[in-house]
Amino acid sequence: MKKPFETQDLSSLREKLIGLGEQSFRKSYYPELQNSIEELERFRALLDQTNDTIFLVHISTGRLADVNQSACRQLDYSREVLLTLSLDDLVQLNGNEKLSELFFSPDSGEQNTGMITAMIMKRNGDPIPVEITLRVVTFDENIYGVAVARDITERIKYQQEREKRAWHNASQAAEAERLKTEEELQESEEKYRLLVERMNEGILVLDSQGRIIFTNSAMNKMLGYGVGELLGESLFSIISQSDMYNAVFYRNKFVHLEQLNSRQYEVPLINKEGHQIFALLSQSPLKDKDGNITGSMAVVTDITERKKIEETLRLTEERFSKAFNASSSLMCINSVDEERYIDVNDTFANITGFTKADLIGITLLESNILKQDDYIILKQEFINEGYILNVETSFFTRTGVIRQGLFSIERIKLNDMECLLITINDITEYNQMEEKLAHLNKLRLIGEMAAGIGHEIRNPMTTVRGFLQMLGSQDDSAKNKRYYDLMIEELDRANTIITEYLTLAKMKTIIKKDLNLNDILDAILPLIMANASKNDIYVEVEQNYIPNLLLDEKEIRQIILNLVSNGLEAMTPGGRLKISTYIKNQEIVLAVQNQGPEIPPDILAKLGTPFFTTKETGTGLGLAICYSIADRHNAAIKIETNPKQTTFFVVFHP
Amino acid sequence: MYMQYQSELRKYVIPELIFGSGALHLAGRYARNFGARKVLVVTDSGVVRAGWTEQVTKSLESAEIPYTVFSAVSPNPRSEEVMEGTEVYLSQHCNVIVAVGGGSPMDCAKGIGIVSSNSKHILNFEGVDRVFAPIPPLICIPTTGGTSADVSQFAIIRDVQNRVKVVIGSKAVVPDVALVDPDTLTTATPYLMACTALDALTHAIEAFVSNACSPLTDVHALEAIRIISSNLVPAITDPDNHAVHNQIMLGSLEAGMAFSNAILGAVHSMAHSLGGFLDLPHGECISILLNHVIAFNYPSSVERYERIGQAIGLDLRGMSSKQIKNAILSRLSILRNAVGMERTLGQHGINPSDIPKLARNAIKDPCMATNPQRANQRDVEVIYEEAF
Ligand SMILES: [Fe+2]
Repeated sequence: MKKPFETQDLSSLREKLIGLGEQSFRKSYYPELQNSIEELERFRALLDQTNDTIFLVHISTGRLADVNQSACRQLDYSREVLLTLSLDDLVQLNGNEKLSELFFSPDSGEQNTGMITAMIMKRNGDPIPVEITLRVVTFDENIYGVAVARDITERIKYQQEREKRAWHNASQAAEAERLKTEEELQESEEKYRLLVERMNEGILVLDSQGRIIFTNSAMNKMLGYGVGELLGESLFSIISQSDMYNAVFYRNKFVHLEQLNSRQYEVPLINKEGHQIFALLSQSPLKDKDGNITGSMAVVTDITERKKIEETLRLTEERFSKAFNASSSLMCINSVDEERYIDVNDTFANITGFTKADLIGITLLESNILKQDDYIILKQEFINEGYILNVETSFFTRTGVIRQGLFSIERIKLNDMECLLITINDITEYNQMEEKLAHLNKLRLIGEMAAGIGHEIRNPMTTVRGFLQMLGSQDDSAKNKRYYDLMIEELDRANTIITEYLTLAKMKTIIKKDLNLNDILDAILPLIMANASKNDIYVEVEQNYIPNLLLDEKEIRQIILNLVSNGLEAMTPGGRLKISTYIKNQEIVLAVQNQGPEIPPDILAKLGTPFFTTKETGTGLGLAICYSIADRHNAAIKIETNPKQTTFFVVFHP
Repeated sequence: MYMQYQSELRKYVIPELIFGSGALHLAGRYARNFGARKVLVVTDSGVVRAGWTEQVTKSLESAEIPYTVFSAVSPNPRSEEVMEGTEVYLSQHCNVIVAVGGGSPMDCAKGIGIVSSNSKHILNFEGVDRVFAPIPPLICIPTTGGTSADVSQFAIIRDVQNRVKVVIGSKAVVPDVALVDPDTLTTATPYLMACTALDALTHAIEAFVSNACSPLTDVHALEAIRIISSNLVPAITDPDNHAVHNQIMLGSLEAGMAFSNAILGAVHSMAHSLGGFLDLPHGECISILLNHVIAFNYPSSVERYERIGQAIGLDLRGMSSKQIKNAILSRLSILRNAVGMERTLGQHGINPSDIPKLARNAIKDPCMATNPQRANQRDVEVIYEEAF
């Protein structure tokens, strides 16, 4: 008997075993070595090309272990000579330290990395100013120091020139400035006074005790006081007491000027009527001629209104963000102009399989979740209408799985920026569920009808069969014998169909017990094997650990047998049928895989409909029965088909 | 069967070999020549107790090579042990592996080599030619006269979860050097000696009737059958005889050279399946199955079995092929009983209901590919039943 599949498998296995396979060679490090050497050579060339001088130092001795070509060139030594020297022979630091001691800090022993400037000596004794970067590396458990020195002669020259120029310019300008200032002083004082009075911002001046010694009119207006009313008052009287700690904190800031630089604070002030006002204070110290601090001056801006708006905005955004992230729809926010992702919610990430990081920054089109055609249609609609509401479009996950969604797109404002809010309502499961429900309804309806008429047909048939049998045995002419037999056979076939049909329809009393699918499979395995070997088909069984389920043993046997015999019939001799059990996504799966031809889509859609069959002798009820058994066990039947094989999965939800 | 493959190409690969008393003292020198920075010595507790591990580490010390000893290896080495050993190998920055012991430490060492340079779990390499990156230098020092893991391209690892043995076959795991020292047999127990020698004899027989046999391997296979069958009983009854040790070690080595290149057959497929299921010593499994597989294979290779009969010392002149078959089977039974291997499958606690599962795994074993007679599920079940 010929077994094309196995023979091919075995002979290629045998070829490899006896050492004649493509990959059957003894280990060779040579190709890898060759690669490494080439890489090293390229790297070496790079190091030699750079203008920086590079030294590799034995930490223990300070001796040079290796140098690059620029080191030889710039220092005018041959490599051989350099390798007899130590780093300290070449480099002079500003102090008494030695460079070789700087790789590790002397007290902590930790490794130092960093940059220092130093002089490096050429062979003829000329010093080159350099900037040296230090680093410690470990090869093969030996510790080396790497010092990379960069020539900074040019940079120093340039800096010195610039400083010289700057100093010269500055001294000339200073003299001219002094003369001009004295003239202008008189004039400007008047100008400043007017400015202060007319300013929109309030001005507040305190003495060193924290008493108010000046307010401008804007300041008075802000707090509702008349001219001069605030003079002599303590700063305390205008800071809100609602928060004592903060009040003390602010007062200290003002009075003692802990920080002498000008600073900005948001401070809650209180007006004459006792209402709270948020103000932004920019404070700077006042000094006398000798530089002693005599008090402080603050520019005060009323930011109450701004604060309110900010707060409302924050609340709105918080609410939006909560709704965004908790939504069970896929949502994303994209920029208006290029549709770049600004944010996506968790549902979006979970269903599409992209992470936020994958998406943020790229454009909608780049993310490839839409077909180009669909994208153009959506975009056109959006341009026409200004929004999109529940347009059904398919979209893709990262792995390319197609899903169905209802797309809505609208413009929203986020942080003062116009954005697109895209919402996708995933209806894939819903569509699948609808199809499934329709299928089950059809089954049930047909079943009920069948049960009704089944008996009505069977009774007369029994009578007819009996008479046929009788007549057949009485008829003398043997030549009619085969017609009688044929008639009886046909009747029996019709009867089988009806019996199977009734199985499908009857609400059989099913007895579910705590059983293991594997045990049931084991029990009928001999039957399956016998059947398979009759058809010359090899059965492979892969049982994995699965927990017990509530099962009706007879029904489960039937579902397995139906799926197996389906598979056997689909295959030509020599094929391989695989039965496996396993857990996937917390569901228990029974898979029956055959190597039969691919099921075309139009047939796939009709599978499981009673009387639908592609076989010459089939009743068309096998799979329909499987569906109704699966239904009674809260299980689903899924089918995957491709040119190589077709797999039926029974998926139990425990 | 043989006609079909006669015109085919043949390949012959074996490691660099040193054979003879004192060979194991060369471990240090070889490690140094391989540029060893640090050596991982893979061994097991029995070999440590017998003192052979220490002899090897002394040799490393005298070559001034640092080493770490990994001895947590079970009789049927497990995938977890391979992963643990790899952890040690990598964390200790080793770059050469020395395996000292029977098949278990050597197989485990091969596993460690594979995982350390291919960076995947060992069970990913099941099958043939699945190892791509070369493993680090591997020096094998066998201390039993049987497994031939020191010359072969196979590593057999036990997957405890699934109770199966995983066969990994690749020319890339052939060791670099085998230091075969007959002195190591002085500490073998009679049971170990019987198990390993019967295994070696089976290697030679299966290689000789393999459908991948060739004149290159036949010489070694026949010589191994002759040497082992005539020294097997003395090895048990006269345990201090150095000349016998020498012969057993040589026979085992020749059997290894034959089967590494001509591969094995159904006895090993079925023994791997059995050993995975029961955690039984490999030699025990082999000895239970050998006769029953020969009976099954006999019709396919009548002429070759006749030459085996001559090699085990039978005078077959004037006998019919059926008489020859019976003579060979009964001689092998006598040998087996004489070295105390008498138990059957049933006596090892197998249930008849386990047989279909055992057979299913045996068919999947690579060694089935070179068995002279094609065997299907039912055939293998029948052989197990007969061995029951
Ligand atoms: Fe073996």
